Amino acid sequence: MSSDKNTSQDEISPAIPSNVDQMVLLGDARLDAVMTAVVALGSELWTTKRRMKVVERLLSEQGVSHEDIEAYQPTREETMQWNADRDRFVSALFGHLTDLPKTNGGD
Amino acid sequence: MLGRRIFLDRALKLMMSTTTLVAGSANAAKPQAAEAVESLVPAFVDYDPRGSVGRLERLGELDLESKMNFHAGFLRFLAKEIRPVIEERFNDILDDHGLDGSKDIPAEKTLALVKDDPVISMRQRSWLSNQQVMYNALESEFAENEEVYLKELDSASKVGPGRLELNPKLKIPDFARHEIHIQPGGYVGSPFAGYINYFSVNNFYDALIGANYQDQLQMGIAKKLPRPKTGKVLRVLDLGCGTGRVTFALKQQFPDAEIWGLDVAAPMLRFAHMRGVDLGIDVNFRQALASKTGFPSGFFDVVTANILFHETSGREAKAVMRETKRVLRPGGVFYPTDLPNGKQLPKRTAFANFGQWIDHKINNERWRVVWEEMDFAKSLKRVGFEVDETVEAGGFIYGKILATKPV
Repeated sequence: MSSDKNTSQDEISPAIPSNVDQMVLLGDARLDAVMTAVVALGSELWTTKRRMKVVERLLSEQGVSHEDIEAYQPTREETMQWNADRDRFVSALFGHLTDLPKTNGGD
Repeated sequence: MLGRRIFLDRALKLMMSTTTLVAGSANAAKPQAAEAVESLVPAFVDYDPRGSVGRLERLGELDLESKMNFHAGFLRFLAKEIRPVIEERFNDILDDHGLDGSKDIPAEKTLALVKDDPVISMRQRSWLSNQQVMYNALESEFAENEEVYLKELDSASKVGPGRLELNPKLKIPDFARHEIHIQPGGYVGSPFAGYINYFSVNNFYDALIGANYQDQLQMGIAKKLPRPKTGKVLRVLDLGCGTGRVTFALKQQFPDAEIWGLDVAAPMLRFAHMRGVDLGIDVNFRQALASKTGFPSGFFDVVTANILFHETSGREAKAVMRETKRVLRPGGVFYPTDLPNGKQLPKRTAFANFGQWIDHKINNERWRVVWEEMDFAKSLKRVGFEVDETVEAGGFIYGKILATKPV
């Protein structure tokens, strides 16, 4: 046990920051940012896939097999709803492409 | 819940023995005793929503665990599949410029030649992005659930097993304030530094040695540690203990010994002690500089230091060696596990020098270059140790070194 009465928030000392946040390694800060976005997307995608594995495994224990999932045909209403969700997803990911300036950057 | 359960079980047994004398029936007394214990002892408020797998307490959410799984996989991909490709490209580029990559060519001479190679630059960028996205995910978890994690840390500090000695007056020297491995806030700038370090380093080991979720590497170090040839092992000190993995492993090897983990960073020690409480391991932690431990001379039989030296300044490294000799008893042993240097330094090729520079530049390994230019064995001899460079290495990429304080 501790011999002091401080809490964990009392013991912080300012760190000397690394300078990697400003680092440009691909010759263009935009490319560096895109690479980080791609890695983040990969992380999110794998996270979703791994959750799906968990869900499918638990479903199989409840009698819903992988084949049942493969064979499932969405209803008309579901198809419409899911397509709308897809469109929002695509827009959120790539919508910023429509916001690019008319010139290709640089002075 | 393991630590708390063990702690409460012990307290309960103690209370039961007293209560039994009064009530005359252990069974009748049990519920009352349990209630009394709960109300008397400070409680460790363990935040453990997803349980544990052996020694690993799982991250708070499945998605965060999956993200870490991805980042470990990405690191592994870079290490196993991309690294050989960029080494070949690197050497080809040098060859095109009439340079022999197998020679000890300093990074300063090769950087300009290779910096625009698409694969080499993409490797550096994607490695850095992977680390940044990983740290962001961890930081978010602890920031968004600040209350429960702080409560976990603070409540653990009030209970055992083991003691936590913090020194709020300790001035943290600059060499310990850097964001080593680009960990946001470093080891001293965030109350969650221990959590962030523990879980991010898990990914590193997953990528490079398969897995270390049960502290296998540190268990191996403690097991390989050569015992002193004279005398018993009554006290062991683990310098630069960080999150305490080696410290805990030492307790397993020396169950009857008094074990101390020492580090300059309070957040790391808070986490280490909390984990010790959770695992029910009776080790002590002290906040101090490894060069100024505050322990009496000749106090320890064994001292360890896992990956401490390459992460501290050259001057401090030498001061740590002197302090280690002071706190060891005659015949006591010092078994540091760190990157090899001196005559154990792997052959210096142009690519190795380039890798060292990259590690310095984008992984913020501040003193790796300084460390690899030192000769650990010679420095230890200069301090007065007897040095053996033929002992079994602790594992991973560590050098082989054992220093004994002369009798």
